[in-house]
Amino acid sequence: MRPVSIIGVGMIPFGKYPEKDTADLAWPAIKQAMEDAGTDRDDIGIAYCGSVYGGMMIGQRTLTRLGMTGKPIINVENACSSSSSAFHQAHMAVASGAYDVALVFGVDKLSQFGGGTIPLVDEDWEISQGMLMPALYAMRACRYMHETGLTTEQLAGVSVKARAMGAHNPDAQFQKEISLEEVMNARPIADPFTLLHCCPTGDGAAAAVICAGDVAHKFEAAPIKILASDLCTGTYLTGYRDMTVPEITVRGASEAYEEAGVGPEDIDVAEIHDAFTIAELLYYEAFGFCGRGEAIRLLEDGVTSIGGAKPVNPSGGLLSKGHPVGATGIAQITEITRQLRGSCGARQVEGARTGLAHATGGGAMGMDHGACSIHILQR
Amino acid sequence: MAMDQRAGHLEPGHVIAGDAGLHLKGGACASCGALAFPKPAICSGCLSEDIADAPLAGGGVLYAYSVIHVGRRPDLPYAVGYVDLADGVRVFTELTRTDGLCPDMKVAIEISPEAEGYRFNAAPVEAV
Ligand SMILES: [Zn+2]
Repeated sequence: MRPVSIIGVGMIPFGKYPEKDTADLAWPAIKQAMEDAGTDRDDIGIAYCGSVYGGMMIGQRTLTRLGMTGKPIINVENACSSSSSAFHQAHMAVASGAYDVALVFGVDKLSQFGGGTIPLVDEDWEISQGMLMPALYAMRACRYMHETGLTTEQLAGVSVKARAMGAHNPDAQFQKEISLEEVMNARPIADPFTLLHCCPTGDGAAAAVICAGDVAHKFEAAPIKILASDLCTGTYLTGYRDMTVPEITVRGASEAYEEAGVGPEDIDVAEIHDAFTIAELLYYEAFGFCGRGEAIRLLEDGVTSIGGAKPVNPSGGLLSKGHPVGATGIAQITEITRQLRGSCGARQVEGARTGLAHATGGGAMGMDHGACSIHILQR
Repeated sequence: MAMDQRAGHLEPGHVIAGDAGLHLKGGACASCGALAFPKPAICSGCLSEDIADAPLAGGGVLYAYSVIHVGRRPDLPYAVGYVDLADGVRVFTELTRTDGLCPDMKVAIEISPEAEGYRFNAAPVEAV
């Protein structure tokens, strides 16, 4: 396997575009990433598309608009980890030596469902019994609060921080700060969550161009190195499981740190999968940013805000930037790439050298999550 | 939506009606003893397809819960939770009430006949 670098990224502002086809959401992000990379269409050897609700051949329907046909196009569905899983596949294709340059993008249009919780597959027994994603995360919160004494008000602080970050991101679905009272008083969804504890539904697309490390300089003066590209699946259990320790992310983090040769202390900036407020706190602990039960201290002491020692989700995260599921993984990688380049303006994490992106999800009975993909990048 | 109509409803195949009353029908692997619900066609542990019907425990403790305020159901809010049955199986189910709930409280599985199957949920058996 040979080193691989990111040479271009792009995304459209996340939001609601009900009048646009899914493929029309995606091509501007790809064009932006290609221009950022300085690659021509002929340079791309293979393309991967991550999407959950884009339908059959979404990758082909998108790339025909850009005249990029003939080469292999692979569509990847892995729930919230769809485009980060696609990125993992693209990384393998280049690292193996089979291709020098690959395009990977993610896109989804949730506005097609008209709001509410995202549709799940009710062949799964728990889902047939009414399991919803907010209910799953709410039960994690219930148990974590029971075991650690975390309060609903403290939990609400996660959203306040996320929106404060998103206020500085022109690509975020929400770009306005909110108060603790607004989070607490929003309409209830699944106790302890009000609406403002939940990521919004929306539409979006993001893209990246990756390249073999030894040819990257031909396109981009300062390529971003991919130190680790990890993908794993939840361990299936029929009995009891500890919902306060996300085993899939704990395992993935350990694999990714080992592959990269770094530890949690080396991470200068992270984009983690804060689909609901509780997730952000569980993942601080899963990534080893703090010990068990200490996550709320990191949040309340400002450690994970801009200017803190360990800024998390400077983009606003899923809670503020939005979560068009298939687009999320590459959008996180886009943010980390821009952070490592130092091009994030008011939300820039000063001097960031090493960053981490984490997308996990997929409700499946007997698993913490269906998929988890973690990437560690370095300038 | 289909999921809303089926929530809290058990098909006849998920229930064992015995002398001691109605029980959730789990599957016990005849080869390795693993217990699962719903009863699987194949044991995920040892791949044996010899799975015996196993009546599951009628009670356990509430691991975690949430009161749901959204969705298409007419009877909002309602509560759902994970119940850790005494025999080691965890079951996702509706709860009979939305107040007075607390993790680790004792609950009983309630199963009663209804059209084309059974109604099932879990009822707290102690005060918080
Ligand atoms: Zn077995």
